[in-house]
Amino acid sequence: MIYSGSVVYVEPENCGTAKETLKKYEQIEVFAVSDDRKQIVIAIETEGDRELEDLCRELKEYDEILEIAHHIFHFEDEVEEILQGRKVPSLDGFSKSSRKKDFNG
Amino acid sequence: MMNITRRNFIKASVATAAAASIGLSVTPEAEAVQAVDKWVKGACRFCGTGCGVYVGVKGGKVVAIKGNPDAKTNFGFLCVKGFLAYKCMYHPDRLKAPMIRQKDGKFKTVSWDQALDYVADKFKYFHGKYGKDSVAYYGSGQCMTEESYTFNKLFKGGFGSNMVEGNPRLCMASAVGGYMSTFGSDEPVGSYADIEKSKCLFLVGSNTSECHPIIFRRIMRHKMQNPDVKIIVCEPRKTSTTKIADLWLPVDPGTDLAVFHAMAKYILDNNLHDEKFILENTRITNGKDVTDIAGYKEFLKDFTPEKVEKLTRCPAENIKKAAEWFAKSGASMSLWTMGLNQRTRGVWANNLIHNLHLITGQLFKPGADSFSLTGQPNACGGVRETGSLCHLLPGTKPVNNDAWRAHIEKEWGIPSGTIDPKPGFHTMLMFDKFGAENDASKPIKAVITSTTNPAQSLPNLNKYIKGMQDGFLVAIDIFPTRTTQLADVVLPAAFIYEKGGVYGCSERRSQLTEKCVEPVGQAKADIWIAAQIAKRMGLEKLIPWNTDDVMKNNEMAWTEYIRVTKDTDHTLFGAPYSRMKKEKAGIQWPCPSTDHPGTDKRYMKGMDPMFEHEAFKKKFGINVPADREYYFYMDGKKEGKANIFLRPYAGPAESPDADYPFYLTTGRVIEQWHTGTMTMRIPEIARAHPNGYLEIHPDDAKKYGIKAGDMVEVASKRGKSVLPAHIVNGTLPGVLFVPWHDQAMDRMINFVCNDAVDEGSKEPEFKIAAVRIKKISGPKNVAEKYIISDINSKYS
Repeated sequence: MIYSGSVVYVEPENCGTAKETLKKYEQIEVFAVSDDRKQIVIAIETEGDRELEDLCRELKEYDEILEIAHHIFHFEDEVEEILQGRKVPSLDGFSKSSRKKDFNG
Repeated sequence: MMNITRRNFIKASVATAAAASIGLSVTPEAEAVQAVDKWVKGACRFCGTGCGVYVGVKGGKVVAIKGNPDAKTNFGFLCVKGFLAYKCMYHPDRLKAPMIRQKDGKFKTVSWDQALDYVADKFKYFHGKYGKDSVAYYGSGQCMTEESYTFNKLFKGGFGSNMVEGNPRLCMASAVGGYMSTFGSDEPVGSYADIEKSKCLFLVGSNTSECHPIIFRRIMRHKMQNPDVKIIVCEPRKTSTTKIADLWLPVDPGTDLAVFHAMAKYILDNNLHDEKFILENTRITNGKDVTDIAGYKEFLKDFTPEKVEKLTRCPAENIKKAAEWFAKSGASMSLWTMGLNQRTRGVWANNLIHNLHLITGQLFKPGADSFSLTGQPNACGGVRETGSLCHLLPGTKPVNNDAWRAHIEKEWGIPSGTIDPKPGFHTMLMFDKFGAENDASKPIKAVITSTTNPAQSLPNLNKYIKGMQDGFLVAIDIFPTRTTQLADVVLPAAFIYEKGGVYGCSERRSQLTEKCVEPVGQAKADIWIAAQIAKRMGLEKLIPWNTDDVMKNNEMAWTEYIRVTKDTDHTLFGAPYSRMKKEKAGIQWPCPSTDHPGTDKRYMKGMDPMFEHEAFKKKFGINVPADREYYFYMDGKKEGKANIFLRPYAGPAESPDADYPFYLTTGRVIEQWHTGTMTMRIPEIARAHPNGYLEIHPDDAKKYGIKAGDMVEVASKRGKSVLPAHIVNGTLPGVLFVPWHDQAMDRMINFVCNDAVDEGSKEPEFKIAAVRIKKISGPKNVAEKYIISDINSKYS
């Protein structure tokens, strides 16, 4: 598992909506909101980096979310998996379909 | 239940850290948790931005990384490259033991003593038979400062040889040449902090959003908060950086010198220049004779925007608008990288950007600067400042400067005359002259490389591979690479967080990384390797830091380095290890004393400590007049002035013709870094751009019957590559782009690139080649991600 401590940037008037949007995701836990209602502190828990990346891409598509910035990454589980030989950083994600999608822009 | 508790524990921990980074508190319960044993302060291993990090260690392993909120570079945030460094550290492909190639061509694992004895004996043999210059060092802008300093000292002070080079020759040498020739001293006047104060940002030859994402984030946020800030991008490709631009100046590769001249002409013709600044602080010169503003205008008379449009394809109206914004903004900042440097006119291109700042007085004030971004994390601190190039000595002073050579010899405690006044071979010449023992045309018989991959990264590779194959090649690295495939000895290196040391980034800021964990396997720090070779070659007194305590070795080397460069314009004498350990954001030179905070702006009275540094002024014969607010104290003519250079227009070494009708330019993409040795092993990074590809404009694709994904041969006079086509609108018709991280032989674009070098900086013209294309086939299942895992694999 990968854990990320991140900051979501929003317009103050959209803070409430953004918070509700974030709460819909089971991978996300909202921890704090800044006094000016422009920043929401969240923890994200995903199976791996790819899932985290996909999730963030999806979140950025919401109008009420301006930006997501990552501050901290905790990857102890990943390191253990690699060191135990149970996981070799693999080529997952290089499917033909994604490559074609990439080529077609 | 235990799992849930642990999950909540870690989530609370990461949220607390994220909240703290922006000055927020979370619940007291959450604040109490700590998911690691300790946090160790350091710098990011990747690009030249110099992001501050804290490395989380638990059970002797790196298990977390967070941005350093106090860092003046990244303010606590990191991009994907920095986050995923752990996958490099613990990847099963890591080299874990020294190896010597056997007669059957295979590597055999040996002990460190065997490997080091073998290397030292070979070096001694070559020195004895072929002379001091028969053995060369080729280092990297990724080595720690202490490591580069040590190898430089070993070769120049120990062997008496200037055959010392580093890969910054391939990326930054033109920027060095530009700063040295215009201002008299290397590296920028200002700092990253100017970004948030600027009113006009001129991004030239830099795809900042992909190559320096944290810097881009700062620019983007500044623009978002201040929509009136103008952003101009001058670049052949419409890159992702242009998304936030107000104005794009598209140019054919290598022709932008004319655009810069046209901007200068427009500024002067419309009286947008700062005459007072020019008269007081600059000298207008062609390098030989001095002229005045009228002479400059005369020189520029043919560079009308309309004429320049015909030459460059950059619209005249865009040139005029860019000139107007640049001159009138009140605070203009230029930022550039390899697009300006990797050229046969790289130094001139740098000079012409500086010219724009000098004629408009866009220097010194907050938000105004002419700023070169570095590509590697320690090209500035490790190679430029320690003088680890064939023509330099520590302090970025030339080897042919008698006084400085004598100073270094005295500081190093070596006999006068030990250091050769004649520069060694620059990178391309070094590898051109490297080869077999029985080949009289190849005077260099042995090369030791550190943290770099010349068998992939040199341009016009076909010319240099045989030499690397035939000569005695020692490679220090963390992974098998194209270079280890040609090496005779492979020495496993420790990763930055396994050894510690100092990195100096683009803004003259040096930051100490402390050792976090033990190296994997038998890997060792390069500084230890250098010191052990020195010891075996009878140079233990010269390089005494050969203990098993790597941080002690680092500190000894650093302490000596800052003493040797104490009274220079680059001084870090006020930054001993004791202070570097405490400083949360590193220190910007010049920093002459431990009570000095470091320098945000150079050459400015009240800001730059060198104005009052008597020992420095005495050593270099500098007299700063009391009435000068600004003073370029390293001006060779002792007038404290910067040079506005009248550089004639010259295009690239190679332009398209009937046989090779396209321009080819190359570069980096956000997720990949350099030759992909590290980043291609990180699946999340490799996935985004798994293989090299050819970017081609739809009009050109149509003309050649090329569809998306088709395999296309790209050929120059030197070599060819076969790549899948990626049809995009973001490039000018007639201009092709290929990223250079792919290690697969067919897609290594450096076989195609030009190795012609800039006359001044000796930096090769990676960025521009004339090529032709040919459709080879329809889409093919190209190797999804090519990395070299087998140390015994062949170079093929």
